[in-house]
Amino acid sequence: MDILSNLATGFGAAGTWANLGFALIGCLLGTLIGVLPGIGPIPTIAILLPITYGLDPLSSLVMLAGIYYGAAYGGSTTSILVNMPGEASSIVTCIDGHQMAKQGRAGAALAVSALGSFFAGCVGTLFICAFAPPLAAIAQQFNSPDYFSLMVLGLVTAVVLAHGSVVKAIAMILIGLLLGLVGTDINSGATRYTFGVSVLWDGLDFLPMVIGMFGVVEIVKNLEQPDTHRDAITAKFRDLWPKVSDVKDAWMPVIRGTLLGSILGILPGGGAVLASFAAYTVEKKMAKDPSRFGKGAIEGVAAPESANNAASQTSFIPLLTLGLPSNAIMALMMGAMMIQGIQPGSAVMTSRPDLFWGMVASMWIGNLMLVVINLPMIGIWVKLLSMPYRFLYPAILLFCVIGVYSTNNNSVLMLFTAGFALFGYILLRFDCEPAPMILGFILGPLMEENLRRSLVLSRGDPMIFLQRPISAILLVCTALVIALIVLPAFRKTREEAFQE
Amino acid sequence: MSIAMQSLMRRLAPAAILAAALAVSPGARAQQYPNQDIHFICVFPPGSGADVLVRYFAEKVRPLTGKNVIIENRSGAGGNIGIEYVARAKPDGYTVLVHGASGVAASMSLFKNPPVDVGKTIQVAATINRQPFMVLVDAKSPHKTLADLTAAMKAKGDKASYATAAPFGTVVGEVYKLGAGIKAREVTYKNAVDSLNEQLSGVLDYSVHDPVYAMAQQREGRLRILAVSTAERLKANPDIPTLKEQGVSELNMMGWWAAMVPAGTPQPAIDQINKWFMQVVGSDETREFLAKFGGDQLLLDSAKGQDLFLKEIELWREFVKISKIEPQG
Repeated sequence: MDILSNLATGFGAAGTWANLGFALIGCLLGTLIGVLPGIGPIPTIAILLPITYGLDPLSSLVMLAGIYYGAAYGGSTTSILVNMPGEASSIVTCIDGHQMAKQGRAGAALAVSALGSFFAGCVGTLFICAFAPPLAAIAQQFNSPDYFSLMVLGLVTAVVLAHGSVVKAIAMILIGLLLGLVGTDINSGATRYTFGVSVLWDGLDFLPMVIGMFGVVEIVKNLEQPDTHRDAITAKFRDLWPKVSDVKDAWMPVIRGTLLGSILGILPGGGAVLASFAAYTVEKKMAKDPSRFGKGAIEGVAAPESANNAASQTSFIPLLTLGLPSNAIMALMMGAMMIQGIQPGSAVMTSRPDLFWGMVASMWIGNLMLVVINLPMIGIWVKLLSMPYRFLYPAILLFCVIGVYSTNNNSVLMLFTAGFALFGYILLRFDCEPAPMILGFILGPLMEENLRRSLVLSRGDPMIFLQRPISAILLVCTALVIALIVLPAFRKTREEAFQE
Repeated sequence: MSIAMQSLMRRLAPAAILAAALAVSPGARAQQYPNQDIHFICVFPPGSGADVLVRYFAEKVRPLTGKNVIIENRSGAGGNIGIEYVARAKPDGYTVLVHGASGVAASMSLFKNPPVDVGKTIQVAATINRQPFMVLVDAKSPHKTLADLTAAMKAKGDKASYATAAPFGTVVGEVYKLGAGIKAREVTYKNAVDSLNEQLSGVLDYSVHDPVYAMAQQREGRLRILAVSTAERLKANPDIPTLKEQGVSELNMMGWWAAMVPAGTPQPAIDQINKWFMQVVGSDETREFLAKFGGDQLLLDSAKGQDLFLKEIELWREFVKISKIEPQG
């Protein structure tokens, strides 16, 4: 069995004390930031990126991945107990989870969400084992034209799946593409948009951008809102275990949510948020009595919680096999890998099997840790919610600054961070999501490079994109997605899906 | 001189006498340098291939110095930011640029407005290694020698394509084309590994890449190395012929690393740095370490190293002219 021997490699690499330690740190941190409303996994991973420089690549990825799915767990805890989603992916969990808590079934809701997530995590891990190698085999056939078409598809899908207005999403991607142009053009060696500033010759730095736009902006955003009264439910914790009838009601939604999440996670632009919304909608549509939803239906907790966790796992597949980040967090993970000198893509699986399978194995280990950590520690997390922000935010800001400065001891980067923070805040005011911009920034230079390289290889003949079968198929998919965006019927459903 | 200053001088006088006395004794002379931490400057980000090399030498040199050796990554602008930083640093031997001296020399020609005149502001203290760039074909290709490849490329004319991923590769590629009289089209990549799929699918006829990538791909049986760009064969891979042997070019195109300091650094500090590096680079462990990257040890005294550096600056002006590289900036 290939899968088994691969997993054995992975567990060997991830099972060292050091890596187990980093997985634990990642999970704890993830849960912590998941519990704290306002600080999501994106700023946390962005802030922690510099720390990973000194670590070995596997350890750093294990830790960052731990933060990612730890946040999904932590977010659901506050959703249920305080009706405050720590994470975007657990917004739907609030609806029925908090109702359950008010009815004194908080324990059951938390347990179902934790166990459902664990189940989904296991399935997601198996999904990666099963689908990553064949996808990677395809990826080895990829030439420049195919990569170009893949990036086009990725960016177009990002438009569909972004929140809010389509026009704004397109605008953000275009801004990202433009920012990606800054620096030295590899084909001609000409410098573009550098204004004679030599710091810009290698392009804009990724770290000041993400720390400014996510880390700092997140703090500013939270400072604008006064400390809201947090309505925590701390009593009624005695019955942590769900009743038999709860399990009976929950197991099918868990399976459905897991499958839905696994599939949506793979799609470019997809991810945990979309998966949780979709799973909730499906359960509501399938229920015999949809009116129970919103009043403490256990399916409304089980399905989205499983879905967001499954999607968290499977969204690693396109990154690890095609080198294509499917959402902003994956773009950050890609950045983390590139910082370590690893170009994400199919080559990772063959050249660094220990790294690839070690990461897959660590996901499962991380999920197990989360169940173990979370159930007994719920009380502590709830206490943390009462920590005053006047201590929390300056500390985070300090870490942001140290993180950026330590990358190459250059104070100009501080100015960039401040500039991006300001820009990020303006975007926030205009209701523009920065995530598509980050995708555009990451994918844009790759797209341009592959476009121009393809044309050099074909001596200027654009038909090369249709002559290669992989590229042609991807472009057809792109055309279909564009058709979807334009169709009025689809636009309506998209708006509804994001409204719930 | 102010009164405060005078009193300070008086108080310091005994210490100065003591220091002078110590300086006379031969044992103490070595203590003059280093008496504080030494900074190794790496012009690439942490975790990069160059960073690995700098860290290796920092580890090995540290115990010899009796001080701490700190690595500072000052990356950006194709290495220019780090080069400029060192050129403008205090010339006291505590700021050491550990980097490709060939790359520092090349910066004078690759950029329209190089931030500093490296020939005047940077001084080689010790040399580390020399390594070639390599001409590669698919391991499954029928071309077993460079002559085979040249013949095939002549037949293919301007329909042939080859990959490069660095200015050095561009230079070697252009020199090969001129010498062999072929018309292949250059396709540039950001990293050598990005060109692998295309080379294996036959879209690219050959590639000119760094030895780290080339050696790894040959070891894994994917690509075959046909020639190296140095004028002489290297000890690290003695069975690979040179471009010169094949009658393609007389040029010695060689990348070499060095420990460099700001011009004006006192000679005793330079000699000390040279001694440390001679000891570290000369070891069997380092020879094996460098051979893994396809390079040989390069052991020169500081004066010979500086000569080589000044020649390299001129050589690059010629390279850039031959290969028609447009200076950046």
